[in-house]
Amino acid sequence: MEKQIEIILVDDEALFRSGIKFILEREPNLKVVFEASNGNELLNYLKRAKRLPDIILMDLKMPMLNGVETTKILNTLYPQLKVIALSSYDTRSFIINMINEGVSSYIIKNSTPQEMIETINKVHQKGFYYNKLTLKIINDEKKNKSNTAVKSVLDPDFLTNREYQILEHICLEFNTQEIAEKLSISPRTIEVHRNNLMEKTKSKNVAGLVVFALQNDLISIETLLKMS
Amino acid sequence: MENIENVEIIRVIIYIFFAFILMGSAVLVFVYFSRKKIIEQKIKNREKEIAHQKTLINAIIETQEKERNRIAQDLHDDISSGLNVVAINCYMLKTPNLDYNEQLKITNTILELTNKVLQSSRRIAHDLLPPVIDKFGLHEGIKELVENINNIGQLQIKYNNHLNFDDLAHEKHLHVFRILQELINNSLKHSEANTITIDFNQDSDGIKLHYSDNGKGFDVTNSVHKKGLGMKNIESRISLLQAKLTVDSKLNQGTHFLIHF
Repeated sequence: MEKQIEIILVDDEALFRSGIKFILEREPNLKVVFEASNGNELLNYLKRAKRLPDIILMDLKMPMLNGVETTKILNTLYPQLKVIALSSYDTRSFIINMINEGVSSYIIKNSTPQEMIETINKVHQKGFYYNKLTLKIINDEKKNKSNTAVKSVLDPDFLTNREYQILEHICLEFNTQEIAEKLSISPRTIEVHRNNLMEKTKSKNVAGLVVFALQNDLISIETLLKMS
Repeated sequence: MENIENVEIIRVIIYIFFAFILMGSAVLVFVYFSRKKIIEQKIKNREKEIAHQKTLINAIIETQEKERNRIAQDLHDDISSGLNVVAINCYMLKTPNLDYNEQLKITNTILELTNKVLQSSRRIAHDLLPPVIDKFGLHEGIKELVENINNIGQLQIKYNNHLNFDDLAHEKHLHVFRILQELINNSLKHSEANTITIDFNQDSDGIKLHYSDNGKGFDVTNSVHKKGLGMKNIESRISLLQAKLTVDSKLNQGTHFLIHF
């Protein structure tokens, strides 16, 4: 059997957690390994944990240490962790705030179980999954951004052709193996390029790469929307 | 001789004439300056009044924002989160191959939660405006308020009413109710009193509301007590009622409020 995706739920509402757990664990490939009712509980668990989970489902509004602050701490302590924000807030500022913290996805609490499961699977496989609403919000945000970063992007040497090609494929939700096959280069080379891309765009993960590409017009929102 | 006398008379007349003019202008100058002073005083008073109105308006806005904040919190914490869990449990019910016990458990959770959300929404609505005032009037509203406080048990309220509130303009009922709520709140929070009396009566002067507690009182000359949001709220309601507030309190001798309208 394929290795299960290990998930931690962070939400202050115990009944909500147990509901989500029930639904997720009906899926044979999903496993909830820990439940925390606030950021502190999560951090304490991670400190002791022998193995990090694959995915963290993070509520925003929690007592003690809320989801935004917790995500910030995770970014410095465990940058490899993939965080999915799961909140009842569905407004632009909440979404963009979490995207800027580098979350791999943002879903609202009244999403259907299918949407949640799909998001978890996609984030696990590709490193990110943004639905239409989130993509639009990321895309709109570039208009408000100062163009300090854009200058370097316009520099013809900013990305090599190969890097650009790989960035495009990442945005289109291809994983390393698939990109390697499509471009007939080794997965190892793809990983090197990907790390260079993250270095150049100052992204902490693949999700950050996609946000960067979208906000700097390296890929159009239409292309991404057509795909999803 | 006559000539000289005439000249003297004319001179006297001229002196008197000038003396009058001098006195007249002195009076004018005096009137002018004293009027100016009076007007300046009036302007100062007006400015004070306006400043006072402004603080009252600020207090109203601040209270309104606090209320909104609280309502938003309540809605998010009690209603939204509750409904989120209800929705999750409905999805759980839809999953295939549930056995009878699982179904029963989920259904019970849904029922329980629905009841909780219903209770919360009722409580939120009640906090906003006790429906009893609207349906049964101020007297019943105060009775309910008193009963609720007495049930908590921190202190006991004695409520006497010798008048019929139907004579009081309807829009004033809510102001009176809110003032009482605020006064009771103050007594609960600050006074350490164990008894409050609320007394309404009417004489030829109008309606009088006596409110007193037997708590530790406060120094009425100390303006700190007037600056509280609660007191400002009471003041603005009193000015809307066109009523008059007299506060009488001494340290360790309880507090007495008289509202006359």
